[in-house]
Amino acid sequence: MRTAFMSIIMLLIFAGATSLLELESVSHDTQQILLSSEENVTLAREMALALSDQNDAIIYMAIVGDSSSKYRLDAEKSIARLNSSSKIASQLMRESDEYGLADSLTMHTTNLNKLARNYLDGEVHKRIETQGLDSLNSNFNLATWYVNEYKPEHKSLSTNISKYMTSSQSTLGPEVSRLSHTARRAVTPVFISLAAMFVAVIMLFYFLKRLYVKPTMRINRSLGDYLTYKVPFDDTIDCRDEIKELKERIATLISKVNKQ
Amino acid sequence: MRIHVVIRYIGMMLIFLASFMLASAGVSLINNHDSALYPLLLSSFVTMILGLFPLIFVDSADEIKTKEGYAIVVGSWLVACIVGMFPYLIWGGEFTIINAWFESVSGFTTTGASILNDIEFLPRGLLFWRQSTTWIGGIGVVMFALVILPSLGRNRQLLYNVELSTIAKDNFRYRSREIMRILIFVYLGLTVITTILLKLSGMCWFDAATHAMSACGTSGFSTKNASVAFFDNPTIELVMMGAMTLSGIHFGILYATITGRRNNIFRSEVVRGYIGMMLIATLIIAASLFSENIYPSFIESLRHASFQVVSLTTTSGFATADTNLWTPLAIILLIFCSIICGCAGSTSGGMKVDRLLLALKVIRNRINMQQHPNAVISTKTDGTVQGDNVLSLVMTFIVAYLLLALAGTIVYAMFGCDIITSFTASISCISNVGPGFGEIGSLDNYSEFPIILKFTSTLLMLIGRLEIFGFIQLFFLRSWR
Repeated sequence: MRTAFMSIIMLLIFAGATSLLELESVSHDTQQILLSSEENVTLAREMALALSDQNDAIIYMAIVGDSSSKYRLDAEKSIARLNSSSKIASQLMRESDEYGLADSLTMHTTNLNKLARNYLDGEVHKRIETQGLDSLNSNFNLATWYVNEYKPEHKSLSTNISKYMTSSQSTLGPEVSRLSHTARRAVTPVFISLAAMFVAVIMLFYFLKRLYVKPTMRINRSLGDYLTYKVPFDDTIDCRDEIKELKERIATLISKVNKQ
Repeated sequence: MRIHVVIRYIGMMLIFLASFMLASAGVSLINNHDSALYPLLLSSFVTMILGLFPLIFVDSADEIKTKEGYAIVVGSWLVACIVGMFPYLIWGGEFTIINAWFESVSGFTTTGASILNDIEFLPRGLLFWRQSTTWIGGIGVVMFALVILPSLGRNRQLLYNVELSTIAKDNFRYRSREIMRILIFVYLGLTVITTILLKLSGMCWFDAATHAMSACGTSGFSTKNASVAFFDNPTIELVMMGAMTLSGIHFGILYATITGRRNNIFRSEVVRGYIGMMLIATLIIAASLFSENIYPSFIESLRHASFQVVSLTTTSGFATADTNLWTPLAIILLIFCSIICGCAGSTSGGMKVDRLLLALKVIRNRINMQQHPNAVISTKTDGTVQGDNVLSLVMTFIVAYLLLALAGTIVYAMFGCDIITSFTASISCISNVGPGFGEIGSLDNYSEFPIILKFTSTLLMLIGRLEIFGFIQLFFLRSWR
């Protein structure tokens, strides 16, 4: 009997431990997914802000014509911020095998920064002067440079940043599938153990009834019959353990009483 | 009927299953602690506890009555199929409840049909368990339980009678203990030899052992998506064919041959019929494939034809080619092989060559009786005169088999399967072959079937494995009291 109950307890403990282990795994996976998603969003936000700052600075300097040191400094800072955040983002994407997007992001960041650097170093002004001397009908000026060269590159980089921001969502599908798989593995052992326990309890009920309850009732009835009608005590009752001992002692007692 | 005695013996079988789950967990552990380790350990633990429970309370019985024997056999099979689902269910993946049930039933009935689209994705521990179910099923769950039963001979004989067909039992009147020894000796020996030969032919140890288990159990479960075609190795195919052919012969005859007894495979009329049927089918199919230019040479045609014929006749279901692309004549002959199958007393399912031979003799005798109405004509197999009772049983079984096949075909067709798929799925499941034709061709699987058809398939597998009447008996509980 003790073994039977111990078995049920062990079964529950084991099922619980397995479920805990799997739940731990689910929790770890969920945390990983959330962290990775958060990192993506933070980096994308940083790149988008740097891009916007650089664009503002370039517009003020090239289109509005305000060449104050404030905008120059903003542009310099944005170049550095774009560079560093893009490097981290590319590295992360390469780690998750997204080489295409990583390469594209790096290329467009380099191109845009190069354009901004050229402007800050006066290369664009030099080109305007050179073209103005070379051709009398030259339409090349700061505005056309911005519209034809800087703006398209800005747009391309902006698109890449958007793609990067949503890249975690596109890789989320398989991750979620893996997660649901792990979650199911956490729940199934409990269900199976419960089903097994249900069967074990039914078996226990059946055996208890057959080996302990019914024999006790039969012993009681047989003893009653002996006391009332002197019917011989039925010692063929099928039972075990203490009930068997009890039956044997009653049988011995009756035989002793009969002898007296 | 003493239910507690039945439960005790089923419990012993469960402990045996649990030990195989533990062995599979060991394989998992060796293979870098793969993802099947915990599912297998937990399943083993649950199964062990369920098996131990009755042993705590019930003492071994001195004698088992016939009805109890039936209940133990059928109950063991059903319980093994249920418990066999545990590792699959806990592991997850493609295994929904119905899929796990299908895979488990398919394994224990040695059918070898699968619902898995990507078998190679399974961890090795789970693959080993999957192959183990077929190996255990091959010899019969009950036969294994009997090995560990500390009971007297009479118990074993009663249980054994359900497992083997009546004809096989009559042919070999060994004592039950002797039968046990024969089965273990032949089955284990065959598996070990096949494993070694497959290893020598170029497989790794894991593939060799698992394919040997599957070939000897005539189930057809493979560890590769493309089955045996994956290896594309004639030596491997030859070894597999040898193992499958031997597993399709009555184990008693095999033992008699090994030990130099008189009633051996060279004298047995049934074995001659079995080998002859396969040879004729192979030659006709090879000629048909070659004439239709399906394979460039006759040797190539012969290679694929012989493998598929042996595979389907022995109810294994391994594949080296897509038989859906073969000629109509080849397909018809393969379906015929799937219906007749191997010898009684082997691990194969189906109608059995023994019954076919007897049925043919009954027809011949009936024709002779029309010519000579007063003649006394007896029907013999392997020198033994078969009584009217046996002949009647044979004919009844054939009729029941065909009716069941027809009923199965109707059910499959009701749920939208085409005629060839419906008929071959029904035949394949009842005969425990595995693959059929159409949507369930040699390189396809049952994954696209709706839940109801998957369940129907498992039901047919169980009915077929328990030789139809063994299963039907289960539903007449009232007569058991």
